Amino acid sequence: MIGRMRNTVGKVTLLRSGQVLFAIVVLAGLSGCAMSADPAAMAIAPQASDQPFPQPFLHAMCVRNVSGGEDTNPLWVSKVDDKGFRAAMVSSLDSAELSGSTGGCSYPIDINLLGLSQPAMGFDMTVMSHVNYKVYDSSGQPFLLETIDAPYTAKFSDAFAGTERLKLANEGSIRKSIQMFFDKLRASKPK
Amino acid sequence: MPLAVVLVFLSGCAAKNFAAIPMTQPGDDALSCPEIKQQIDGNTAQEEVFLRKDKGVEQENVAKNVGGVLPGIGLVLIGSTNLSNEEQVEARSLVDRNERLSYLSKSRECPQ
Repeated sequence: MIGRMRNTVGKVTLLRSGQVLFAIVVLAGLSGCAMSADPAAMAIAPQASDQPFPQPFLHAMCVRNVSGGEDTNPLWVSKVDDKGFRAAMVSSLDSAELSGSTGGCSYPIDINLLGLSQPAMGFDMTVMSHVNYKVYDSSGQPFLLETIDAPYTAKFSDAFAGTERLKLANEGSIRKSIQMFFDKLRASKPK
Repeated sequence: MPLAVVLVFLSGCAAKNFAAIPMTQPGDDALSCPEIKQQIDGNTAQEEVFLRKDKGVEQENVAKNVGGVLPGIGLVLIGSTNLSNEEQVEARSLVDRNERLSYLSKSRECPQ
């Protein structure tokens, strides 16, 4: 009788500890304070390309306005703010030798972050950024207007904590967006 | 068993896949003044609908996250939060689309 009771108690304890462990794993995956996207991780590095940028763009571009970004609430989810997006774009322009010197900006760029489509939770997390890039020429006329939707997936193996994985997906998506915008610049024909 | 449920549940939390409305569209150069005006009016009306829907989604999300502390269904509520921002993206892209159409209207000297 006592032996049977011990057995039952042992099974219950084992079951409970299994449930507690399971809950800890799930909560650890979901928890952690959300952090804003890192500008350095959103910028693209200099790269060799078969198609160079058109000559008039070299040392002649600058970021004028960035809008649509959101500040990150640490208790909510990671976002991309205007300041971070601007820093990432400026750094990317610098790397590609497109940044104009002070007062030497013939092609200002306005960026409107329309929004980020994020998953609520998941193992592999895919974020899609939606961005409008507007390039104006020296006379102030719109020269290139591009709407770019860029998806990026952060894998479960990239980060265990869900908040960190979402941040990586945000950064990757913006990086891809800037890359796609640069590809459009390369293919354009400025006067 | 609970792990299987969570796995199935988590796999259904992916963001909705959609594209923003492009600022420039094929055929823009061929638009007449009345067509431009018609598009601007239609976009403005649609933008208001999207903004209203966006507010609704935001309020729903707040309620779901408050309910997230409830044992048992909390995780389900948090998992069903809608972070796709579809309505916001569409509303904002319509504003930029209208900016483009207004530019076309001005450059063609369309009557206001």
